[in-house]
Formats: sequence, C-alpha cells, structure tokens
Amino acid sequence: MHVDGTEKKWVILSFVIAFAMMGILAAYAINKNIHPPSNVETIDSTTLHLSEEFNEDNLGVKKAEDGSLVATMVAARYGFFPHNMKVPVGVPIKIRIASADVLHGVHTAFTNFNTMIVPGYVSEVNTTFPKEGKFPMFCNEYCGLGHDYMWSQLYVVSQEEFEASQKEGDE
Amino acid sequence: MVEMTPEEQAAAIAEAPKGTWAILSVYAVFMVLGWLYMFYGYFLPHGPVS
Repeated sequence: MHVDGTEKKWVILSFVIAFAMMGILAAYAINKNIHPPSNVETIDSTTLHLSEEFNEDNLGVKKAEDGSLVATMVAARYGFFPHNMKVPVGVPIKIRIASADVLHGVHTAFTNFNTMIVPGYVSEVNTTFPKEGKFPMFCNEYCGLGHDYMWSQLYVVSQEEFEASQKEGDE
Repeated sequence: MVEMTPEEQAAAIAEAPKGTWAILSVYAVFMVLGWLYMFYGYFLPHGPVS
C-alpha cells in the first residue's frame, strides 16, 4: 500500500505526541502518585444516617488516629453535607463522601477535587489544596430537578485558622 | 502570479506537499503546547490527586 511521505510523517508525529503525553502522565502516576481516584468500598446508602462514619454528627473534617486529616461528607438531593467545610491549605487530606440517594458527582472549581458519588459506594479522594480561598463545590452528575441548585462551599484557610476552627468546633 | 511550466508543475506534484506539512506541524506544535500548558499550568498547580 502506498502511503504518501507527508502522511507517514504525520502518522509518526501523532504517535510521538500521544506517547509523549502518555509517558508524562505515567511518570507522574508512578513517581508522584497522581492518578484518578479509585476506591472500592461498599456501604448501604439507605442506612447512611445510621452508620457511625456518615452519621450527621460525625460529618466534616477530623484528625484520624495517625494524625492525618479525613473529611467525611454526604451527598443527598440537593446538597452536600456539611454545607460549608474548612480545610487547611497545603496539608494532605483524605475526603470520603457517600451518597444517601442517587448518583451524584462533586467538582470543586479551581481544584482537582472531582469524583463521582455512586450510591452504595464510598468515594475517596486524597488531595492537597494549594491555595487559600473560597471554592464552590458543584454536583456534576444530573441527579434530579434540583441538580442545578446542589452546591456547597469549601473554605481553604491557613493552618492557624483551621486549628482555631477545629477548637471551636465550627468546621 | 507566475505561471508554472508543465515541467515545474510535474515536479511540484511529484514531491511532498511542503505547505501541507508546514500547516500540520504548526497544529502539532499548538496541540503539544496547549496540552503542556493545561497539565503544568493548571492540573499540577491545583494539587495532587489519588
């Protein structure tokens, strides 16, 4: 089969570009552990409010036994709970979120916190928020007539302010 | 516009189209630069995820 020289060059260049992009992604995935969140953990969505972790009183940011930060959230039509959440800037945090009803998604604008929330499963994202500010969290999976109004606020604050809010218990 | 002789036309058709190759190369450069800008300029500064 005759392939024109220009076409051959373009095919080769396309492969070089694609492999270079994949190589960069693979290098970051292997060396820096940056990859799409994946966590397979089941939970009964119908009794979420009765579970210890996702009970209304236990939602929000807490320090785990090993000192790491864990944020627990519930997505339910039509909001994220807690509605306002404070997290410290530049500190690794594990966010665990479960749906109480239907399929939801959460995307925090201007950050990489973005995951689907499938009923019956616990979604888990490990991330670090590098900039202080007030960031809106939106549902990005159509979940019903109130989907457009399903949002929340994430406050990325200094570590001092975060520690103070933890002491006050207003997170 | 300068008229091409039949010999020049035949020679131009026989060789690889340089203009097409130049346009493709420009698109390739834009695509690579755009991807690098999004990855290093937006994705990585927004914090690591796993």
